[in-house]
Amino acid sequence: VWRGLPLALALLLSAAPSLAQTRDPEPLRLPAWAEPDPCTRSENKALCHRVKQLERAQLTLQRQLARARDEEDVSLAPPTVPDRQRLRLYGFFDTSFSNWWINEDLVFGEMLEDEAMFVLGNLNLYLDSNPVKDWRFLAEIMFRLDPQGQMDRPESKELGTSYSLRQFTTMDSSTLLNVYGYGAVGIERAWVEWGMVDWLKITVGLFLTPYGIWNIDHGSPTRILAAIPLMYLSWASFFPSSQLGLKIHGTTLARDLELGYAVTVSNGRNPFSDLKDSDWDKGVGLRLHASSLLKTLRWKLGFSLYSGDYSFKKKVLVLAPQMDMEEELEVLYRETALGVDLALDWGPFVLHWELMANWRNYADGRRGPADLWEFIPFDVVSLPSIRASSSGLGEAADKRSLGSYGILAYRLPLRRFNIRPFIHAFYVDFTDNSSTDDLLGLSAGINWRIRGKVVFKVEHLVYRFLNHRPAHYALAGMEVFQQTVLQTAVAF
Amino acid sequence: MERSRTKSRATRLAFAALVVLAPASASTQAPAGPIAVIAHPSCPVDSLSLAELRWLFLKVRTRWTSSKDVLVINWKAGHPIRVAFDRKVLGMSPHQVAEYWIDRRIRGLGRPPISIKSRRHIVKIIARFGGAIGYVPLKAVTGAVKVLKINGRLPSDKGYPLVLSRSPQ
Repeated sequence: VWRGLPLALALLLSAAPSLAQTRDPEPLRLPAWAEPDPCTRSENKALCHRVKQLERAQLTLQRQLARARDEEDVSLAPPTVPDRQRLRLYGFFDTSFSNWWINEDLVFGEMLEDEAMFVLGNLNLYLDSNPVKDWRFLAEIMFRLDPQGQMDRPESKELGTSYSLRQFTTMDSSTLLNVYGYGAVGIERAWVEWGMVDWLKITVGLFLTPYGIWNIDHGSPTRILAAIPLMYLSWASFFPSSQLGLKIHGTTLARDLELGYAVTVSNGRNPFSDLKDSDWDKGVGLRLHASSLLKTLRWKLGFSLYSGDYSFKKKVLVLAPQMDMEEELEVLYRETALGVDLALDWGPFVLHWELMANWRNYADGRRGPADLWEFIPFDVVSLPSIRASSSGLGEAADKRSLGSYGILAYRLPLRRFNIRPFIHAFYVDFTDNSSTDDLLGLSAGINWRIRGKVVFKVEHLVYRFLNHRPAHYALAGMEVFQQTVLQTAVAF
Repeated sequence: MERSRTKSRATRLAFAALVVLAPASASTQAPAGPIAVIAHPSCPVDSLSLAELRWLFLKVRTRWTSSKDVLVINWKAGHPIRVAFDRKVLGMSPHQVAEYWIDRRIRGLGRPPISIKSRRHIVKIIARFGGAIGYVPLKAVTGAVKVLKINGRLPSDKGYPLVLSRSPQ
């Protein structure tokens, strides 16, 4: 007994505070089901039901009233205008489900992914700031999954070449056990702008080339189509989509008209134009536009011009007579592009139309080898490996490309749903002196935009080569091919 | 007898609810009458055309003078007075206005005007910041701001273009 006494005392002492904190027992409460319900009496049922209805209505009204009072509450802190220096983040994202309806037995068909699949599109983040009065900074960063899952470029013509999907992985540095794929970050634009007046602003950095409608609209939520018009694909674009350099631009108003201009001087277009220039000649551009925002009819008419040299240099290390690095200019051509565009917004109708032409005139002796595929402009497939492998095709010829597309959309007269069915047609004549055919495309689809920020699109396209020459090895049997795209885009 | 008493009580409750409801429902409608376009007293402009007002509220024109920015103060999106103003001045539905500002941002052309949900705050801000412009019902105008003419007319003039009817829809 005595041996157990200290233990009993210790237990009592430790239990004492909890005993002291014990509250008085709560009064006995009947469970809810046992309380008499005033509404059980049949004569009161209707009244009770009505009272409950009114109580609910009153609660709703009190909330509405509180909200209304909040809106009118002048006792809040004095109003302030947001700080100019604040960094604003926004952007857009899109993802698609895509299927090519294509004969996979063909060379071209094999290169496209013919399986229906989900596709991760753009994830672009904007950094926007006004660091000082009259100054603005804007950067747009595109997060990519490349080079994961990319196929080797079909740059070699050697028979037996195998094309496999690439997988780039790295080790998780924290555990050295986990392996994951990595993606890349691309800079779509990054510039600083100074502007004291609307008619004169000066932008320096990487900017989107001011031309056309598609390039200016830029983001998937803004664009009506789900699929990109062929003449805007990076390897086929008539103008450079972005330029590194200087842009002077502005607008002025004359009654209901806005008149605008932009003059650009840049590195122009070359394989590494976002990094450096490979010649002294700069690309120059001009954009003129007039637009009107009448209440019933809004329109914008634009004219664009770009001219610049494309050059590709190779550096060779020589040892004799003394060690030196010599430059060899392999390719040089003068590029000129012209474009006209018209956008109309008339009641429920929207019309976009663009017409463009591009001329490339090579310097003799600097033509480089012809493209592997004639319809692909040289700047994309003119990397050294392709030149080495495609030298059997002869020298590249001067080129003239012409393209146009139009979109007609109609906003359905639905009050709650902003749905626009659309049709789209394009025609591209990539060159006038090759074996490649003209390409005609037609598409139809629906664009459903929810509060401007979320957009659902579905589009089916039919491409058709005109005046098809079956002799062209890559395009044999490719008179018609089709694509279906379902896209979800969001602006955030 | 019991039933009539019940009815009478319910009627009273319903009436009380309606009394509570009245101010809230009124706040969901745009006020009828003229909408005054107001600016900071230092605003270098006394009169604007409807087209100029449109350019300002679309941020196509962003300067009064080379040294003075235009600071547009708008109502919150979806507010009845905003919906009515957008239809009347910009000729745009709420869908189109939302698209316009989102598209402008994605194009890299900047952000929409500051939006405020209280008319007293709008008046206070406009009175406080040089270059500010906004619009409020005429009865909310105070002496701290300048009322601009639209198409040469003041809100009290006959033929003033910014007069809202009871139902803005």
